[in-house]
Amino acid sequence: MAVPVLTGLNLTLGEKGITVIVGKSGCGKTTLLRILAGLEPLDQGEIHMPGSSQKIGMVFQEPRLMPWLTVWKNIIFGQKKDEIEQEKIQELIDTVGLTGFEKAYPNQLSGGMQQRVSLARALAYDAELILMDEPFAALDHFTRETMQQELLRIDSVSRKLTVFVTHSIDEALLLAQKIVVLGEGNVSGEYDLSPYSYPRDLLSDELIEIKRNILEKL
Amino acid sequence: MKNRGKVKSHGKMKAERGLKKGSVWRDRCKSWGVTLGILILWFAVSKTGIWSSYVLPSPEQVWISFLAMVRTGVLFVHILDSFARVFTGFWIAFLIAFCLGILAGIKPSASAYYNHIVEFMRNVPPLSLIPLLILWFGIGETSKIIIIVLASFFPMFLNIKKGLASCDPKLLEVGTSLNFTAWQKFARIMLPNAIPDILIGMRVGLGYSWRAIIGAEMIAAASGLGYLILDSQQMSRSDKVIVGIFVIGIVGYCCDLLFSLAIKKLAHGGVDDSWS
Repeated sequence: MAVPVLTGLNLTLGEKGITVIVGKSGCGKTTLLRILAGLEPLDQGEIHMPGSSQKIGMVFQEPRLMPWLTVWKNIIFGQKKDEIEQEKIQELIDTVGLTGFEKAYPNQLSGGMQQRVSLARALAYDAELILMDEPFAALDHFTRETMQQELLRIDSVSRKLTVFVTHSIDEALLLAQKIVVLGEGNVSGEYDLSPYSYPRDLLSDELIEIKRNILEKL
Repeated sequence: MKNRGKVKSHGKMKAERGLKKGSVWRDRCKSWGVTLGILILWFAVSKTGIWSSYVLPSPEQVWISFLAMVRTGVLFVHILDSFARVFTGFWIAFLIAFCLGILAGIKPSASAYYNHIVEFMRNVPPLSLIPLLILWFGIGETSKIIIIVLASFFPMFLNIKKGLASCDPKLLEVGTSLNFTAWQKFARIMLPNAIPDILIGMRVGLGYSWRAIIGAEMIAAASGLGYLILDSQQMSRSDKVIVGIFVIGIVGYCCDLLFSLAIKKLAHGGVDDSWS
């Protein structure tokens, strides 16, 4: 039996920056992302995509790397042969901190490194929209912190639209320029965090106030 | 960062390789020791004269006939004949298994049509078809090659099918998210993902076909290792029978060894444990 997950959802995403969607587990965060990525059919409603190209980069909860390919080949996996720019890929590998591991296979890497390859693959695909489904959930505290900083740095350079799904309000407060709170299949709150500069102090009064507010709406 | 990463992984690999080398040597000593023990036992028993040299030929006798057969070149003719049959039949079987396996792997729902037939055929030893094959195709090469095709088809077909059908849908979703076409998803995700299974199927299939050809040659042939054994039996030359058995075992063993080496190279890109 099909259970409706998202009903009456009306959401406008910005043109660039990081939009974070928070919600309890089972509220439809992942479903929303999968619909945006075209992995899940839409029963009703419409999605309007900005721009002409439909290129969407997706970072899944697990790394989902091809075990038979090296790091380098995994990163260029989505590109056409004639579109590959060696220097750009090398730059990307440096950015995600995998220099020297280009010829390694996924099994030789730690979970955090695999997730960084997966991030690099999405970035190399040169998508206008990058979707991230709790990409750091399986990582340990320190790797997660590094990756969050990495994401903010990449965002400040690339200025693409990133939609980031998480169940951690702290992570949302650290990363987001815009927070969308999803509750009961619907948007229950939107917050504009663009005035707050990075790195953010989660213990500042304003952010604690916002967190309290979000917790009420979840 | 660059150097550190490299040095670390290389150092680790080297240490592991060193460790492996030691244990490989120890294992080799163990296996040669047992082989030598069996040979000595054989030698001792044949020296006691409990059994006549017809029932249990001595190792020297076997060795002498082996050398004689090598010198005249008869042995190589038999090996080559058997080998040529296995080679032809094996590749025909592989081609058929590959095409049908892909169809079956892509459309698992269609298995209802053929599953029972496959299971039925899999349980029929190809050798049991020999009377009919001789009747239909004569005692020429065709009937022997058909035996090999039948023997090696099933392990290859089933493994190719399994390899393709068991592709992780999560990996296929990566293809969808990268806007891959159905063909790209097959060629770039499903097929490479199935390669270890395909190679294992080929290895098992090769072993099966090697066994089947010996049986087929014992029934209907004028050359080949199976024929050599049967002919020697009729000439009451047990020593030559043993030479034939040894050659079959050693050639089969070498084929399998070569194949497993090739699998290692192909499936792992030359690196250990690169496959999940």
